[in-house]
Amino acid sequence: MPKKCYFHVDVNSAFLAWEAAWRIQHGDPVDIREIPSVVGGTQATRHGIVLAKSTLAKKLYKAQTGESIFGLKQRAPNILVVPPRHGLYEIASQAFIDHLSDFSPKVERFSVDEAFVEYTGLEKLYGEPEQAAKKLSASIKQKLGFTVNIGISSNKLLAKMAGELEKPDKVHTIWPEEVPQKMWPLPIGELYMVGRKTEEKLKARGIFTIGDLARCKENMLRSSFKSQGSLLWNFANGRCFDTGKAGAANFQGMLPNNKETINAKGLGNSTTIAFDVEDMACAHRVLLSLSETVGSRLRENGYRAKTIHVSYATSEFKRSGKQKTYHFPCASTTEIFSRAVEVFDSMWSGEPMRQMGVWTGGFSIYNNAQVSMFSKAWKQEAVDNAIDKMRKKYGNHAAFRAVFLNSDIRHMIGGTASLRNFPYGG
Amino acid sequence: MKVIMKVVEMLAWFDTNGKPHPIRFRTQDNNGKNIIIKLDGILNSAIERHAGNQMVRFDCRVTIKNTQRELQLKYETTSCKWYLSKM
Repeated sequence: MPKKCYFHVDVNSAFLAWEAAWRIQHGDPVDIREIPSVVGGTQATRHGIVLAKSTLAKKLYKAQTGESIFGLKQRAPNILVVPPRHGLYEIASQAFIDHLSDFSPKVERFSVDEAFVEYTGLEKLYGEPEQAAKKLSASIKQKLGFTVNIGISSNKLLAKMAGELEKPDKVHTIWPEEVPQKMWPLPIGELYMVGRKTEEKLKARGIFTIGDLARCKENMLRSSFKSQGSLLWNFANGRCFDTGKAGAANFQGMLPNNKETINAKGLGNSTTIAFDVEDMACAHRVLLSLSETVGSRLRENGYRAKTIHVSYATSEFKRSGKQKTYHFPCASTTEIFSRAVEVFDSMWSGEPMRQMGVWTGGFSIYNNAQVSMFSKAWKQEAVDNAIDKMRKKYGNHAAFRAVFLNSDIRHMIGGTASLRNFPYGG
Repeated sequence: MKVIMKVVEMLAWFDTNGKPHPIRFRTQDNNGKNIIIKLDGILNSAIERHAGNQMVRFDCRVTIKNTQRELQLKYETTSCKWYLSKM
């Protein structure tokens, strides 16, 4: 058996790099990666946060991904703010994955700008993993016009950790024997699955580095963090297994890419609304619009979902969410909407909302799912499938529900790759 | 060569594989007057996919005012636009 080897390939400042590559291709003399610049939404629609930043923006003005453009502009009035173009990012991301697929037969997309590549058994073709990674990185730079970080290791978790070590345009390894030197000195917040809250809790227990966590006793962590404790303890020691958490990564092997298996744990969309939603009818319209997007994505991926989760953020950024699991899985927009409404109505107490989200989970394969004998959802699904085909052929605006006519709310919100903000098409 | 990246009107033919072959193009000079430039030959062509956006690049030879020069044209496949890329 050849030694397992995985690459984690991550695009550096993805949105900014793709925008820069596109601009240079269209004759822009300025490379926005080499000046203080950020990609961010417009404040008018309340999407005014930093999505990506250039190295100089980080160095000079301490720009952070996720901070408000307004706050950043006060510190750095001359910084260049580029509006996002999600259609472009989708195309660039696909080109990135296609390029990786030319390199290795086993590629797993991890996010819009990250992917795992299995290198096991390819040594005879491309040589030692580090050399191959350097070649891959150079070919991406030359052909696609942006730089990537590549992390190499014998499992996907360590490959991901290696990819985060030093940026940009670098190749790093963390083989299991290198874990104590390379991974343990890192602050605990750098470990995968350690978020802001967990970081605080760990620090309160005197765990400041990944090494501190690795040297802890598993029982002690289990008593404070339950199963997540042993998961993190294993991660800190460079061992990985299925996280078992919805929305989190599966680090065991590579996921097959076909519709006969369920790859995703959850699928959902959320949106920030340009105004505060204060009445029930309007809230239901937003839910319907989100359900349209989620429903069409479910059907496209060949899933039916049992669990529905509805979340919202109030105008004071207080977040609430609730989920319910039903007996029968569904993929019809109307059914998802009615379930979302049921969950939403049971938790909303009328406070103004700025963000809403619908998420589905508990998937079964579309064609093999147990359906209810008494439900008429299959009829609705036939209509949905017909509409999906129409939308695929003539665009998302080909058919939409009359309730969205002359409405401030688009008929399919959530998801960002709207061709409306892309220069071509149509 | 200097980067120009200006959209031009192009006369081209496409072979049965769908590959474009530029023949001549119309653009404006500094005074806004239309000029037609006929290509003497294509020296090189390549496909570039920067940020996933596919363009076919042509390095061409032209004769302008009895002087032979080289220029670069680009054909953007998604928008079907021709660009005078460098001259």
